[in-house]
Amino acid sequence: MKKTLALLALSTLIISSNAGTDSFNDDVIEAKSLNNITEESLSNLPMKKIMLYPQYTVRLNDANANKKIEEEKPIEAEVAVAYNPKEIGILIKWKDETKSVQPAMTTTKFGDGVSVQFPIKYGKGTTLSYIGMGDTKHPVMVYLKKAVEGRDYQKAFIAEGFGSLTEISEKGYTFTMKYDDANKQWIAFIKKPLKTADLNLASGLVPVAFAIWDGDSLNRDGNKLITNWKFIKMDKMKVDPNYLKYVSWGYGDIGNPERGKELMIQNGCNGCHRYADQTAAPEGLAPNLSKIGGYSNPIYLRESIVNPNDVVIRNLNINRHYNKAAEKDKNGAYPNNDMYTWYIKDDKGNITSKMPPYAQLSEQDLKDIVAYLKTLK
Amino acid sequence: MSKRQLAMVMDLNKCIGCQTCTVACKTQWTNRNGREYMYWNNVETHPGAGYPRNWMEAGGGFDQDGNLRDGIIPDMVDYGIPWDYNHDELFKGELLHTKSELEWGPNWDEDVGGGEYPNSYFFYIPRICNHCSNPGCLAACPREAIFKREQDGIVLVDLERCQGYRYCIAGCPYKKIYFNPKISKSEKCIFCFPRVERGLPPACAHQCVGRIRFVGFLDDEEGQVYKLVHKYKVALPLRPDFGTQPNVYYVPPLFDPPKFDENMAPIENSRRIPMEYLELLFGKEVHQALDTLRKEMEKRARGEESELMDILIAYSHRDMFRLDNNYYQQEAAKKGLKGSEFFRIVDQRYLQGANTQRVEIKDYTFHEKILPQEEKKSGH
Repeated sequence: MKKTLALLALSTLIISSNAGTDSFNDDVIEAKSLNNITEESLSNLPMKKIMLYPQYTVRLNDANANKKIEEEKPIEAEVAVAYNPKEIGILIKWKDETKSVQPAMTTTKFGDGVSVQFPIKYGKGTTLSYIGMGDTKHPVMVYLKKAVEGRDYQKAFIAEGFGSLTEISEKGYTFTMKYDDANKQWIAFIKKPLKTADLNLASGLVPVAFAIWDGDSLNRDGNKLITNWKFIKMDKMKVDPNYLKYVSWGYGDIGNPERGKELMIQNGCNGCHRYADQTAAPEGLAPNLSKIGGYSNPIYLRESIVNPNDVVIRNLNINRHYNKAAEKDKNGAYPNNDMYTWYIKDDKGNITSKMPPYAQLSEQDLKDIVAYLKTLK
Repeated sequence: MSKRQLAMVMDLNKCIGCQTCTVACKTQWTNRNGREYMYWNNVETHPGAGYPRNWMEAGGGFDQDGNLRDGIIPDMVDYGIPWDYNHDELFKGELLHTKSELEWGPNWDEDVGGGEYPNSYFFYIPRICNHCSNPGCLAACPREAIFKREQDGIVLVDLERCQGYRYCIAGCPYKKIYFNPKISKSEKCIFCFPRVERGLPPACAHQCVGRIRFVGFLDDEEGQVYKLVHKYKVALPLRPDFGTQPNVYYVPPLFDPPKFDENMAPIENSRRIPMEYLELLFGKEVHQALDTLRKEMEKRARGEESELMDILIAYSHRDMFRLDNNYYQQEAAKKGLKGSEFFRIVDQRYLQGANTQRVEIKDYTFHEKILPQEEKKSGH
């Protein structure tokens, strides 16, 4: 018995040393209260290091871009946040050896870009939204800046998951992006009202996520690098202890990843999901989990196992799969293949995830599975 | 996906490669605002690289199981970078030359074709967007910005939603959707829908000097398009193996000079165009289509009646373009458009955006039906 435990401990050590132990503090960005929010005033603040990982949950159809994704490495960025009762400012810096600006007369070049995402609802009693532009129950705001020749490409969107991104106009915000040739880095700065009709950021602990596009890697849209949810801690505002307890669940060594991997096979996760060496499931049948640990928070992973209906994810355009076994319509069109739709919609329009809830798992089983998922990045 | 489907038939036996269709389209739609390099309509020589160069090898479409295939996005050289001449310098005694190096362009390999002299051969294929029943571009768009009109199956881009990601270009196996770098959005052949709604055929079809193009609804049994496609089955989709169910159909080339033997004597019943090539382009059905054409032609030669031959002679535009029969007027009336209001476009979604209402998106139906009918409530 002792031997087995020792062996298990050893294998845990190997996996976690590979992943590095995470801590909630890594995901907290301390925001300073500043009267004057400018790019310069934020430059003087200490910066927080964050990691961005290539999005791998859904696979798009550009053959050249897909080759690049396999080579893409996580990148590091630095952020600083400041706020006052009226405004919030975020400074983002990241190294990029190749400055890419989308040129005026080409079809195959893409510009570098950056975006900042906030959930519209957050705080006590609200579960974390899906990192990939939100989900049905958790809409998000996305602020996007891209380097495009001859144009100031700056947009604000509301989204509820893939395909739902819809541009809105938000007044009073600025988003700039400059390339620092000397240090080969991009410096982006967004300043926006602390409160708008869509988004109230006046809170002690505000979830925020970042995305970076590398034009050189043919990045655009879902081909991008993303963070998990980070949390802006406003130094002079009150943090709800329950919310803090909720979002900080699952950091550190919470379980045995080796056992978690076995549990995932025992529970049939690999029947629908692809991850690591598990590639039996058809491509696109369910989210690919191969890099899920890089951009998911532990509590999100736990909840999507226990209660998948809380975060029903829209899959990519469902017309990507046609049902060739079905009868064609009078114009020769095949219907969509429902097998690849990630949700079921009832007559009343209620949407449930095709993934059943795994609420029967014991607390330790869950921790072990989450511990394993955290290593996938 | 749509209630009805407009379709076009092109008789390749009569295409002379004059590019009048190309010019009709270009002057109408693509001579400005970032579309300069695009040819929504082009005429290419086959066998040949086509436009954009090697489009048939660029991927997209659907595999045997109905799943979208990966594809590539052609670069500007493959499309052909529009060039300028040094006209100003001619007055200073310079010779005429282009201002940039030329590598490739649309129609670069015109009339090159295949085969060895004296048995060389070629034919023309005019191409527009196929307004497919299962469009690859529509399927590939992660923003769901591409939609198929319920009234007539015309495939359009909601330019408000389009963010210029270009997956549609990779997804279209015909490479008939283009990236407009000036506005950073995708644009494509719109089947001249503002003309069609008024009972006029698309400009390419109307201007065709060889009268090779027929336009009509696939379910209109009195229409010539229906007769060519469904009754006589002599009009076939291009590259049906791409799996998108195109709605532009081609009458395959029947006329083909015989091969010469070593003594330069024609070999009886020989064909220069290899049947394998026609099979590649039009599928196995090409054999039966050519048989039908041959038999109907012989019938006519014997002085017998042949409805098929009469159709292909293309006597009158009125019969070749059976668009309306008051169909669009009825559609306009359903929308409450009266009198001169008919001249408002029947389906406003191309102009206003198909799915661009300010969210929150509470209803998933647009995701599933692709074709929402709600009025746009407010702009943004």
